[in-house]
Amino acid sequence: MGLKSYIAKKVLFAVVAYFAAITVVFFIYHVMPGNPANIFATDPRVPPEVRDALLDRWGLDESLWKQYLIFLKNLFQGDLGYSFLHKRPVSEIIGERLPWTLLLLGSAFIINAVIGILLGSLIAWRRGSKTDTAFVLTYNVYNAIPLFFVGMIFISIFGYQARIHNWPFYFPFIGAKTPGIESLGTFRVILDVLWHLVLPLTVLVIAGILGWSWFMRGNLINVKTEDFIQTAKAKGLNDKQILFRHGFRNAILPVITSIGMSIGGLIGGSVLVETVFTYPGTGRLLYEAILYKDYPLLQGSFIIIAGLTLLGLLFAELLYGFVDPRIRSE
Amino acid sequence: MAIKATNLFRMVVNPNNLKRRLRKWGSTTKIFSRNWMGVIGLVMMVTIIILAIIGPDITDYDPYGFFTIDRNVRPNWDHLLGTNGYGQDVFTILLESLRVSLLVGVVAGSLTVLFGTTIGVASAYIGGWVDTLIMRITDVILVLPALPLMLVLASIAPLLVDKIPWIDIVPQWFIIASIYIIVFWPVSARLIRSQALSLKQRAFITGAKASGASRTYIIFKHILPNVFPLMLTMIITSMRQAILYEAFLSYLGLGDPLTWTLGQMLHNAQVHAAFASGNWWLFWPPGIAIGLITLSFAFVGMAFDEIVNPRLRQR
Amino acid sequence: MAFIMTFSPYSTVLAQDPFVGGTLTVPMGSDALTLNPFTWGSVYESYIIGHIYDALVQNDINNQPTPVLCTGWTHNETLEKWIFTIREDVYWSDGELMDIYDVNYTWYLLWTDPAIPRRSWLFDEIFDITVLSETQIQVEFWWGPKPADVLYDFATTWIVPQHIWEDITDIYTFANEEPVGCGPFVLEEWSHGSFFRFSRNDQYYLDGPWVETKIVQIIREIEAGYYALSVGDIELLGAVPPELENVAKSDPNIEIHEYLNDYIMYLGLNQRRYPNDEVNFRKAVLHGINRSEIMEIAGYGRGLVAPASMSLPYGAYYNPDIEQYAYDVALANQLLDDLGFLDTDNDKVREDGLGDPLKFNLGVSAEYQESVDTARMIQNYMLALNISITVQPVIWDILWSTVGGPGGSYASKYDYDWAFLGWTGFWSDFHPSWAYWMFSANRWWGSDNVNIPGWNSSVRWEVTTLVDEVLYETDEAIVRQKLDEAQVLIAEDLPYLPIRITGGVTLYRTDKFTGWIMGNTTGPDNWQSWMAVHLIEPDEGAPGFEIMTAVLAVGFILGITYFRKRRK
Repeated sequence: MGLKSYIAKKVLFAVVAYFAAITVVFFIYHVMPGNPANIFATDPRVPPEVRDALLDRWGLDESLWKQYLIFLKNLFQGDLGYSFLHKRPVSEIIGERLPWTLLLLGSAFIINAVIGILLGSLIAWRRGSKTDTAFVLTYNVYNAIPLFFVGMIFISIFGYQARIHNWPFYFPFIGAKTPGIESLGTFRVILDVLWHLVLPLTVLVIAGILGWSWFMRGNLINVKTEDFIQTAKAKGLNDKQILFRHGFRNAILPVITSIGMSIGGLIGGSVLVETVFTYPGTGRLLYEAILYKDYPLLQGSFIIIAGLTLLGLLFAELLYGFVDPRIRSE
Repeated sequence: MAIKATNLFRMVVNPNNLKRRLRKWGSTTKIFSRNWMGVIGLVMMVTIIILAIIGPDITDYDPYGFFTIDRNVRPNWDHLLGTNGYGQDVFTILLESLRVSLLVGVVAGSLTVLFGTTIGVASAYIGGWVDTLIMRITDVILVLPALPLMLVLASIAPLLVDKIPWIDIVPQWFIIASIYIIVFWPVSARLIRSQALSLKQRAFITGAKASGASRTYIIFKHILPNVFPLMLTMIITSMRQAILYEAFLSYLGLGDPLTWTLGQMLHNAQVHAAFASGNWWLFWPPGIAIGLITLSFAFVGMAFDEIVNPRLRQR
Repeated sequence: MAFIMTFSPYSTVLAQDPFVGGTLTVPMGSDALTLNPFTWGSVYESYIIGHIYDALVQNDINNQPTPVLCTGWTHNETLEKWIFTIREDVYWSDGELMDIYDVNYTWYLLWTDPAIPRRSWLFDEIFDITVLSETQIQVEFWWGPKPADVLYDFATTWIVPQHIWEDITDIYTFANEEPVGCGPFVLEEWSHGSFFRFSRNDQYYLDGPWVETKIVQIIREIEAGYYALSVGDIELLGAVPPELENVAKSDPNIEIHEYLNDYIMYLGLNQRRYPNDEVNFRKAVLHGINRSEIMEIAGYGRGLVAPASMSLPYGAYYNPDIEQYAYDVALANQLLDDLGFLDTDNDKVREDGLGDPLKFNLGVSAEYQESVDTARMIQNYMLALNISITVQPVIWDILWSTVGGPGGSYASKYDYDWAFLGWTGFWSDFHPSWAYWMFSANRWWGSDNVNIPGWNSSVRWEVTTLVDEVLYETDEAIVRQKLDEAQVLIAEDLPYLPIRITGGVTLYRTDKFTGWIMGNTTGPDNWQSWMAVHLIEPDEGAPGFEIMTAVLAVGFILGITYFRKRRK
């Protein structure tokens, strides 16, 4: 079929899927009862006429199709919408939270991926040994503990006990930086941000490394059973060479796909971690938008998340197409 | 050549086939028992299921009652796991939660895979524009990240439920199961489809086609039995994941406040600040329960992996 | 149940002024999304805005009006004309002087635009606003509102600077990111989703505030908040569950303050349906509910049992001579028997006069565990009366729309049997117009558009006439007499079945700051408190964390070198 048409087909399908996804999100919200003016609902000082006037002003009393068309028109012009409750453009709201999410989840992602893949490969090679068993046990048990409790355990030990007992080091567990730290200079700001990053990052990293290792281990085990590995062994290659030259390259393919899919999920963020540590990221923003029914913010966030996921997927598929010649000749 | 329903039935429930399968079962159990993890996993799973079936009736306490005395009492001989903020016995509640969580997990997990398999096999086999359409639909769902999507669906589910009048007969836990099914069926559909597609290329299929077998015959006689092992592994994984997701959603408060599930126990513990106030018996039991359930499922799943893929077996 | 009332009057003379300094950090449970004083949404937003802007009059913790931006007020005999005198030493945070034209501009803006969400109802009753001089402004109403109404509802409107707001094209969409106000604090930094940092307004015209910096830190998780409180990162913590309250009791540096909210949880029987419209049926149900037990279990012992007149029992206009509806199952059963609601088919459920079983759905908001618990307890109590209840937890939005709350254009409006929800008591502890707001069929809450319980007996019209008269009545004695009468009528007819008045608990530290002022209905973090809170000892400055960072860095480097060596 050739690379060009492969790419073209993939891109076309991606765009179609994207628009369908956005439409689904749009309609889901407008089907629900409740609207952003409900934030005034329980306040006895705001009479119903005023709420209706607000809905009018926000364009929420128009027909559904008309709202959808306006939404699409804005989207094409690059306007992600205007949040009713924040009274600022959605892109601005997400934009100021995005750096924190990228910092937290981005670094977690990189650490998880790198260490996870390596660890997974190592353990897969030692399949059946005690290390392998220990790993399987640890992974399953840790996976089952909600991140929330892990976070609270860390806060309790490194944030609370450490302070109470005056250990030489302790970590803050609220927010991304100390208020007013800018007055002490950029170096202190960087230190402060890193200091605040430690606890939430640790929570994410432990879960993440285990997850990536598990995934890599599973793939590598499957690959190991393939015939060509046996051939390589028969040829006399040692373990390390087999692992990195043959096993790795084949096992890495599903990993690439999952990297692509997780880029979007990254922005969806870890709601739990951001809640426990009050980290100002986009995950919690999305969750609150759901609660307050701030449609533009919700739609805007989903547009960005879905868009990034799609880009990631596309990138992964293209990479796949380059790496695996079988795909091209389908 | 269309196949009559009776013939179809006879094909699947063929006495010769059954005998063959029973023989295979013997060797399967042998392989299984060699894998110690699988055995432990199975034992754990059976214990948990038995506990769930017996349910909260073995104690005298009512998991849904209200009492003023004995609130937040540490575990003692009267209350094996202590009491919560309302004076309810935690052990009884744990048994009740186990029941519901397992039910949700099993139902959600199996239905997801069954539904996904059906779609996947149909899509692979029918091919053409049907296949493309189904694949595009799965694309749309896969593009949206799972967790936010589940949050969105969980938050609107009660609203939709209210709009549909006949939905009263459906228990609340099934709603959560449905959310899981809606979000995760594309995953199994895609996996099964690729497996079915690769099977399609294999020699024995082309041979069967050449000898004039109909599509239905090929699907039921050749594709499904070969897809079945993968399906089984996926069911175990899916069940496990469903239990975890149910716990997560209930923990966030999006579950049913009137039924005790493992996630609801954790939610309750969080609302009552169990961690910071040191009432460990409120959150360790459900947490460990979730851990053990997922562990047992994982072990059994790994053992199944070995059965399915003979090369995985340790020699 | 006793509540602590720590109370030091604002005007107590201190031996010397407390010194200025320190950083006061307090938590907030959720983010404030916008700082627009005309369109703010949640209480978090009004809390932040209250730091930045001031009004002519401020209520203290005993709901006494205190002159803030004004020096005093007068009115004519018929209470129609009010004259406020403005201070001349107030400055906006950008340096401009606040003058009478700012007040005029703010009031004029609100007067002429009825669509502004945050606008006192009295603006609709204004006939004219006139600037009399450089320091005096007059407001003339169509009729004479009571001083309580004018001072609490009208004069507490935040004043905004004309020189900034007149350039705003659309006040509805103005985010007000860098607010300029004349309040006790100046907003220095707003880190969205994270914190607000205020510095003290050193040009403030009153004595105070005494803290140099105030940080409002958003802390979403109550347990994380408790840890922060115990190590001293924050000075107080609200909305505390009873388990944490118990833990706090053993900490000598933390005090506990209980207070009551102006929030009444009630059981609404949809009187658009039979037999809910039978007054004796409602009485029987209320007698059959053990409200103090509900308070103990579902409410953790906080709050009070609500009186049948739906007014706050600690208020100035409360009439204690009303039916109390003690928990009496025998009486309840007797009342039901007298109505003829007998169990004719022996299925443990009574049948009503038409032969239908007494089976009801009880809608409750699924998002509040307390409400769900209360609903289940009510279900339990009804068993003793042979009434069968099914608890239906639904999302608040649906519940609100179903019972007829404003804004719900829901198909199944009013399609409910019983519902359990709450509402404000319209500040009945000091506000004489509270009954008008709550019960008059001519005001939107009691009107047929909303009228959540569907109250439609003849008593409704009697009460409406009474409370409408109270609105326009200027003689205080007649006002009290009519309100007493209205309360008796309401308690007899039971439009709402009141369950309890909610209460809250705030924990606060006492080792670093002192001077907290709090009351019966307010926690320690209020306007009056801000003028009094100060450090106990001068601040030495926070210890730096360079030591630990250095330790960490060294440890990290050592760790890497160690692992490198192992690999080789």
